[in-house]
Amino acid sequence: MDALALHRDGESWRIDLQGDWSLEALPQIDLQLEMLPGPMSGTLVCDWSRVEHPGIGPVWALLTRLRELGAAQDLVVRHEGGPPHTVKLLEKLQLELCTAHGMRAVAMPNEEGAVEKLGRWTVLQSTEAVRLLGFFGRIAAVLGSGFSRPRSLRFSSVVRHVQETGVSAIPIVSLIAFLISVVVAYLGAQQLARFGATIFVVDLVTIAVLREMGVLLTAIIVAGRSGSAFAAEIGVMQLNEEIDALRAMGMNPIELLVVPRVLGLIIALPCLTIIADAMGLAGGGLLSLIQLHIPPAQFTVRLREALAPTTFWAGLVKAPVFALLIGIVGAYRGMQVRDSARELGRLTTMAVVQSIFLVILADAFFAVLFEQIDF
Amino acid sequence: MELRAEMDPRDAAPQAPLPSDEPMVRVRGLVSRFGTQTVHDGLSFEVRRNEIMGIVGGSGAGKSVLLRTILGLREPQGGTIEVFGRDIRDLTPAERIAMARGYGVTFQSGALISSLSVAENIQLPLREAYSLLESVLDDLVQLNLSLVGLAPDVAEKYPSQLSGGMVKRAALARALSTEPKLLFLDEPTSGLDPISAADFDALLLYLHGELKLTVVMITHDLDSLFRTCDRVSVIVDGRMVTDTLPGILESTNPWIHEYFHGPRARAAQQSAATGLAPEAPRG
Repeated sequence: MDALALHRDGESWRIDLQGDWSLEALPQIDLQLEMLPGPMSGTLVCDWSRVEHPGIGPVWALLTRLRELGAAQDLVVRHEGGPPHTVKLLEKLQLELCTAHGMRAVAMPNEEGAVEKLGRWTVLQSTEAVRLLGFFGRIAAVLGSGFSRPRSLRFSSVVRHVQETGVSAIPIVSLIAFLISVVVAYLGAQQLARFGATIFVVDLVTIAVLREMGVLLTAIIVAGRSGSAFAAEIGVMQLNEEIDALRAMGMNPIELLVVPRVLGLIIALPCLTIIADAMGLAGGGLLSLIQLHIPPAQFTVRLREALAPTTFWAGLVKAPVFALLIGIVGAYRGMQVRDSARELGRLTTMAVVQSIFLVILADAFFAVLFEQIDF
Repeated sequence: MELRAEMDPRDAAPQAPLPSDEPMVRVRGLVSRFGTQTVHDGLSFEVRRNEIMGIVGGSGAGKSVLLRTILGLREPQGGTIEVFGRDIRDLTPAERIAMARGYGVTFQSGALISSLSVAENIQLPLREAYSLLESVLDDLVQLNLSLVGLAPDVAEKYPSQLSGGMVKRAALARALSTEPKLLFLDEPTSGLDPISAADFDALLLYLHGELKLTVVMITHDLDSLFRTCDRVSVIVDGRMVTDTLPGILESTNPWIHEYFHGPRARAAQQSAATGLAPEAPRG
């Protein structure tokens, strides 16, 4: 059954409303409203006598549609025959419609052009860069004051973060370093076997693990584990006004929350790197033994020959730099969280993505630098 | 001790005693803008020594923004703010920290540090400010808990284990722990049941009467307002109208009139008038 029937008599219109006008029927009602011929002029009478309990949504749809249809030609609409509660609902919604219509006219955002978007992005990125630098400066200021006032370095807090970011990451870092180096050794062995130079697998594993993969893998795992944790922990504190409360109590959140995390990470990451190096060499050694039948004694001898004095340090020296990048980006994104859980998610993701990106960028920079200074 | 000589805020010059007629907080011509939206447009007001000042205003009128600005958490777009007679922009970082020790703050959500227990939360500002023995710190926690009417066993709980009302009380205990002379409260009774809210009012009057605290309280709770406040400041159209409670009730400003003469306001006024006399806090 149709929910509405339209009758025309010259300049006067009449709509008989009937049947189901609940929210469930809204899709059908909407279709029928769409089919009303427009624009209308003159007078229109809506007869509500056959509808018992109209829902708010359908009535709203009807009023909005009638307003559209009559907007050009001053249609006069009258509602008749409804029970008292329907009349009240109609009055209320008509009032709302006037307000809503008035507001919509005001709040029409204008479309941004491509140039405007680019400009906005550029300004945003450059202010971001300046702010991040400022954030780094504030961390450096606290670290600097640590020389004259060791208390500000929060020793116990640093230890807790070494535990959280370092000690508890040992299993996963070890496992991944081990497995990846097995894969590298295996692939290397297949290729080198073609030249009958399988013994060079040892060189390959040693140099790859110690110079690059040990530290890079560790940094990426730690960025995923701890960079996100920093952003989320600090972000939630930001949402709970906890950071404001610290400031209001005369405490420096950078000193209390950020510096212990960054320092903890700077201590933990090199240690994790050493563990990853050891596990990587063990993985390479195991594969050499099983696949290539190189006994451990021969592996060690070959390993010593492959090692330059700087190989190990070339990897390890990067660890504190990566730790600094991960720690600062994570904490900075956390401090940026404002107002909503959505922001928290967005900025936590951003913290991880950006810190991994920065770690790889820094690694590339180190590769060029070491090449230049022959390290 | 020599090690942390010059930087340590606790060694900063103590605040010069404030002349007794000098206001505790003075805001002049404050302008706050968010993008194109102006929240405060030349707002001025003063908080006198030893009064309870209630701040009211519609949602979005900028009550919390005002509080954050006074606390130095937000940079205003114009105007001056003096706390304890000092312009907050003239302070060195160490002086700012010393000033923060002089007041206590509770935030709308309580803002207890979620990774610390209630006891650790209460001790946090104390540990920062003074070198106290662990046993003294524990005693002070118990004192502050009983002052706000919380049981001693709450001390070991974490904020997530507390009800909304307990969080507000614990936050007040933290704010009181450094024995401030000035207390800022942001909606301290919102979300409390009527009994807890009435207890809170009683506690506030007690602190105000016995400890001579000056209180600045943002509130929508008309009961609380009628029962505790000496003066009321209303934010209307980005400016402040301050008067005693009877004076505000006479105001001809339409918004203020509606606020204080609506059906809810009348009920609150009656209940305050029929004398639910403030009692000493329990515990």
